[in-house]
Amino acid sequence: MNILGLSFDYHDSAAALLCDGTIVAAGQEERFSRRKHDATFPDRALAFCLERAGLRARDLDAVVFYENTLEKLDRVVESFCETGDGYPEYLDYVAESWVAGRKFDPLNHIADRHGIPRDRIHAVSHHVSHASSAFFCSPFAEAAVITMDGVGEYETTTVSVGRGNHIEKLCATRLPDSLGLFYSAFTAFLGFEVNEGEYKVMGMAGFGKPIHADALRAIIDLTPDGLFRLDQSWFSFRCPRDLPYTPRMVERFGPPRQHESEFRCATGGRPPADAVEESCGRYADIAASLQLVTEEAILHIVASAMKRTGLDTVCIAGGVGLNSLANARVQRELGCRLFVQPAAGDAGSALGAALHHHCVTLGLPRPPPLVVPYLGAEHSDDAIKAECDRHNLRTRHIPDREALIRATVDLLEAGAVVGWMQGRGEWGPRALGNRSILANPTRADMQTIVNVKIKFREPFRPFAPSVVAERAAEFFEFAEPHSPSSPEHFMLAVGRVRPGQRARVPAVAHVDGTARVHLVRRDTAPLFYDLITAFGERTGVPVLLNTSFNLKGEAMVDRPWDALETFAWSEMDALVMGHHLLIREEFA
Amino acid sequence: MKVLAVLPPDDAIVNDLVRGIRVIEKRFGAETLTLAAEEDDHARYADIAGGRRLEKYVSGWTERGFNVIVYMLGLTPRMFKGASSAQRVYLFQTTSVIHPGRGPFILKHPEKYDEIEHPHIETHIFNRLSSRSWGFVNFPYGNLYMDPELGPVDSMGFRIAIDWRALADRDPDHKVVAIFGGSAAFSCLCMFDEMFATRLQERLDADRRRFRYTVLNFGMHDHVVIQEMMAYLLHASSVTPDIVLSHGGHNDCWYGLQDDTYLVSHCNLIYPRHAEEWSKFIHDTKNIATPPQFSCAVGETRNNIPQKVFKAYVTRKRQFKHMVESNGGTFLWGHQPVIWNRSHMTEWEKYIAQRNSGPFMRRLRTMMSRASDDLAAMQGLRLIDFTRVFAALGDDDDYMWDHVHASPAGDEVIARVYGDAILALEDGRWTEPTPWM
Repeated sequence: MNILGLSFDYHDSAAALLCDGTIVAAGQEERFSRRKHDATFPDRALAFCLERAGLRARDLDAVVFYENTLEKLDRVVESFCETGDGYPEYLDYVAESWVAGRKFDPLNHIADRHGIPRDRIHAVSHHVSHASSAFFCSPFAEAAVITMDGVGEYETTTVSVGRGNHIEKLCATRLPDSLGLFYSAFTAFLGFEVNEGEYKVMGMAGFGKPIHADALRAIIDLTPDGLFRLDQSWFSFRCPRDLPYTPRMVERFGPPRQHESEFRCATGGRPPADAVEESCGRYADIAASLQLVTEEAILHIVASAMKRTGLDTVCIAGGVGLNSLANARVQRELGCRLFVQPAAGDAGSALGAALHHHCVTLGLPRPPPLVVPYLGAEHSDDAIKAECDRHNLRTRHIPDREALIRATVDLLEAGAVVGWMQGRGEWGPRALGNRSILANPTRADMQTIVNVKIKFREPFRPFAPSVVAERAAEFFEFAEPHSPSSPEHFMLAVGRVRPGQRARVPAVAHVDGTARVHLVRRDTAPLFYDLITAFGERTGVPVLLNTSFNLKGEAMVDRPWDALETFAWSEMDALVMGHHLLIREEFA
Repeated sequence: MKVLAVLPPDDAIVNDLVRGIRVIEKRFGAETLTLAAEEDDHARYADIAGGRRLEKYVSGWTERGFNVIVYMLGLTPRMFKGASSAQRVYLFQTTSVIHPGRGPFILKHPEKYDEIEHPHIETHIFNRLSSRSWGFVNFPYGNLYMDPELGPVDSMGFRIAIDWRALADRDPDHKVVAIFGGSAAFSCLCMFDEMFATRLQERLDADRRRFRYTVLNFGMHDHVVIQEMMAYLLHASSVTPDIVLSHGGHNDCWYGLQDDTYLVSHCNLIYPRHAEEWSKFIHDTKNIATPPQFSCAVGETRNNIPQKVFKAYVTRKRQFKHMVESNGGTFLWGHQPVIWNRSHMTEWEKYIAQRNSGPFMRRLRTMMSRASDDLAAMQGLRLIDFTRVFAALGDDDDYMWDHVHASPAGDEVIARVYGDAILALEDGRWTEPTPWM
């Protein structure tokens, strides 16, 4: 039984393939098209999935689309009828974009495009896809299942209970009350791109104090039913024109931050050095307040769900599930066992749609828990060599595994920044050691070097530590992992650097002492594990600075060419692809 | 000849309109020009009109009785509604936003170039077989660029208005300065009298010392260094130029990043991407599905790493330099400016920079900047780095009109710097790094 899940037409389109209950492949279109958040039909991701499984489109028994388009259209029209007075062109704008993008009938679109019989194509609603992606990948036989994002068809948050092959929805919140859009509105206010800059807001929050928390608490009403309501006088979510917030936001919090303007911030109780720091301090305080209040809302929703279901196992999906600060608090303060699907955003819904068909519609046995997040494409040493030859580049071929690790550790220890591309690509937005940029975390200057010279991104953004699981507690405080599927293995929960250890890993400790810990296990990532171990044997610190292998604003690399190009444009010192090593000085 | 210029109904930058009216007057005659604008716009155009007649514009009515009609464009497109057979109709874009890469005048009626617009349209086979409309195509002798609307072009499309072949027999104190490069050397957004070749001629005429100079512009839209060499060999070498200005960099980076990997990385060959169409046409392989990287969609694909592109560019440019010097000439290596060099941008330049901030353009920006640093580190190039010249300019004028093409003000700066350089060579004052950087 071959079941393909697809998500597309909004953002982060993706394809995921289940063959006889095994997740054979899953890929986000942006990795193949190189267009960040690519929302177009995932032709390349689909082709990759089929190729990986050795299938053709006609071999698919079912294709499942991740949302119900007519319901979504109904919501758009309803929103316009109720609130579109001030923006009469809104419906025209939506209609034009839907017609141009052929969004009205995605199921026939899929059938036409790939010659798949129409009766094999199905749809499942947006939040059911999310919920399925979380629960059916989790290690739990039963769990409270929570989805939180911007908006699906109507719903923005759902609470369900998952048992065996079934997910039963208990309650839901509908647009315009949306935690995802709440966070995104402030993301826009803070000068970042919506659906992209939310991570940056989390990073910025570390520099501020939550002095506006009470003001934000007045906007979001945590209701006794375990959900929430938003004071809509602050937002414009239903028929958004330019900005998702109203002038009230500016009246209360002052002028919004200019898009991507300079951010410098005083820390450690120091007074601001100049006007830039002073205004940035204001934005950091807003970010900190937003983060705190969002965490409180998530805690409220999860605690209520746990109480309602009587379960201490929790599954989360939806874009809000990528809020790793909140995830850590959920684990720490609610004492639950948490599973967050690594691709918690809309891309992950492709997997959820396929899983729903497999487990619920067909009633087939659930797949084993997702512990290996490397579901993407893989490129052989021969392919890597051929790509380097094509560009007339000299590489050092190191066939011996130990020698390759030794050579890489030599470089890292000496302070080199190394592009690292091995095995299959990661599923989800985090680089988990197969498409990573690695550096020595013991050097205090490394955060600036990697941010400014390598990735060309904002200097305030923190980097994650990848640490061998057995020694992680020596350096970091985090919730005890319940299984190989716990969030720390997917870099989805933030811990704290132990106070006595900050000086040993200064490059991965955020300004507020936190770190987005990534636990690395030998059984799921043997080469990466051995690399970190070898680095630890050499330096005494079994930790590497790990960030995604991409440049600012671009998708993570997938093919050898992507890695070569990213290496060429950055100032990385070395690139390790498979068993091939390229050194900057010998490059070109 | 009665000329009507219809002012734009939308927002336009006042300085650009003033310049536009001046250019229209210069081309068609000031005494015959009538301005027209929608009645609602008369108040805001009163200053611009000055002493000229400003008529109420009524579409299809006001045009009657005029021989030439010019519709001026602001920042939004404008529909052309037809004309009588006796009338010539042009659009005049004050910027290069609506029709990117096009100069100010765009002929709308008649639809095809005639001998009034392009006196050489019947001169040779490639012109005769052309589509007789604006554009550039790759031919064995380089690119044929059809743009006669900006002023005189010769039979090969070069912006040269004299019989330059006679210069082969010139006096020893008569020096020839030959300019090579792509559209920035062609000055594709400037009228003939605004382009830096003309301004350089004026500069050298005005400050005449031992030598008399004639400046010839062999710049051609889209040329990369290899085509500069072809233009030199096939045309300019017959007059043995004393000084060669190779004004480029952008096109080699632009195309180099997109061209066939083997040709760039193994053969140091950078070519205009649309030259691939030749192979398809000659071999009738038009219908063969080609991988996306071989499509001619420019500015999207990235096939090569910058280090290989830079190596190919420098290798070929050094070859050109060697060729010129072997022929007794002096080679000046001009590294052209791009919008991102402007340290103090005007509002217009900020707007242009913002429009050109996608992944490909970010790479192009980085590459031009790195090339500047790397070229500066090389010895003996006789480098004139305009990226640094333009970085030092203030925000008093729009020196760039799009990401790569200078405005008339920018071309004036380029002419001044090249003029200083040539006079420094003449006086034996040349030093490196050049003081005008």
